[in-house]
Amino acid sequence: MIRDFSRNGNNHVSIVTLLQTIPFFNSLEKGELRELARIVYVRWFKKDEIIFRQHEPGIGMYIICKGSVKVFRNSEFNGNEQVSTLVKHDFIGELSLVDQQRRSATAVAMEECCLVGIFRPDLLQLINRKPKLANKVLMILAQIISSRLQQKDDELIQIKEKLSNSDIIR
Amino acid sequence: MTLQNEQNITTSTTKNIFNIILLTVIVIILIIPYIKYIIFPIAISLFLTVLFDPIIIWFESKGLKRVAGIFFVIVLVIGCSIFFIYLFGSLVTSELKFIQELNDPSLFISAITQLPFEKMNIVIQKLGTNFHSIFVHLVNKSTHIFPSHVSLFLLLIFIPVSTYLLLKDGHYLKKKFVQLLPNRYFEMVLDLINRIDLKLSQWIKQQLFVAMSIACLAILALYLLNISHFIMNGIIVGLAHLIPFYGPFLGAIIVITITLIETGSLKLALAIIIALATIKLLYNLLLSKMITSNSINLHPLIIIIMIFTGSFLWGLIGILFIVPITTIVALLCKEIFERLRDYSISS
Repeated sequence: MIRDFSRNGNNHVSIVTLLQTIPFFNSLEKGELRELARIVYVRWFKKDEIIFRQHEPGIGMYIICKGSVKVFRNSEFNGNEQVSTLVKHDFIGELSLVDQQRRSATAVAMEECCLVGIFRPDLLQLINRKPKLANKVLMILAQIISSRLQQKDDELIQIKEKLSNSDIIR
Repeated sequence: MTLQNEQNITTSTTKNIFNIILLTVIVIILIIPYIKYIIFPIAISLFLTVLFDPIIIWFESKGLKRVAGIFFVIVLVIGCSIFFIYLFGSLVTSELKFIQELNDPSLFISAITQLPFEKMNIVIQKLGTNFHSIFVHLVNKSTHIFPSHVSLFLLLIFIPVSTYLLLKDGHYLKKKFVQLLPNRYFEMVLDLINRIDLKLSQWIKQQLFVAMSIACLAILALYLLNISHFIMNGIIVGLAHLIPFYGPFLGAIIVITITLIETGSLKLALAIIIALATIKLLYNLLLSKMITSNSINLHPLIIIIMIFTGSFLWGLIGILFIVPITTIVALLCKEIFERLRDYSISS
């Protein structure tokens, strides 16, 4: 606890090193990564520990640096339905960064995980303090969200093809 | 873990957290008399941090490093304060001396006995004497809040240094505190801290804007009426306006009482009433529209109770500051309970 409160520069350096391993942040320079490291949070989750719950207010996203995460939704008709399994360098909860909707699913760690969290209030402060860097980070987040949208579009097309092949839809 | 079990655990956790918060508030209230000399400078430093942070963020957005921005702002404020004291030092000293002039009730009594209630003259005289002694007691009680000259000097060093450190490392300290929390409460507490930060800073800026506007208008009005100690009286009117419902009346009563004690002139008292009523009207017409609601509306009964509590604890200063302090505490409690409620919902 004392070490956590001390002005220990090593923690900050290790967060920068961690961010450098994430492909999305390849376009950022070292100084910009140091600035980004000031606003991100590194969290460790044990196996089967809940990262966030469906219907909770969401304030940010997580990027998986180590381990894997299971995402599932609870619906009236189907109960707990697994949506996806995410691995290293995948991201979860990205929609909470852009809107103030509640979490649409529950995320659970399948093994010991290390996640890097980026949260809306800190991002808004970065926009005020460092507009140029914030613009770069927002472009990266837009790419993340658009790649997720692309992925969902592809899955939807595959499902429609399967259904049309089985002659359910005409 | 089943849904029912999780809900039970969440309910008992919420109750435990509520009990801990209640216990913390009680402990803080009990130890305030012993640590008041620490609380006030820290409160002032936090207030200055909230005030200066937007300016420093603006400097950062223009490319200036945060440390340089903080240093520049603090040096500017200290420089302006020294300049102000150099120019108006004698005026400020004479304003503070008014406390010693309040002890003589003779002019006050002679003023109120001029009122056309001849049959009740003795009663009015007695009431007036009692009112005067209570008023002087409240003013003297306020002066005991402030430390001796030696510790005042240390305060003048402590406040700028602690403000500098809070501005420079406030975010870092917040981050370190949140990092210590277990995962279950991490996001909730982070959200809570940020919401409190935002709402509190908005509320403080609004109240400061109201108090300063009213104080400036009151200082001008009292200066034109040739009231002695117009600066101190104007500031009292401005601060009193922070109290909902009763503030303008309380401010007027305090200023009129001081004027009657000093001059014994009923005509001047009437002129003050007209001036303050005009200021109140201007505020309602122009300024009140600029203030957005903070959704903390204390009931008038609670405000009266707080005013009496403030007068008991800290005299005149207590009357002026207890309601804003209570509003801040109510804001904090509201946010805490809303977050606890939101994050207790399970799927």
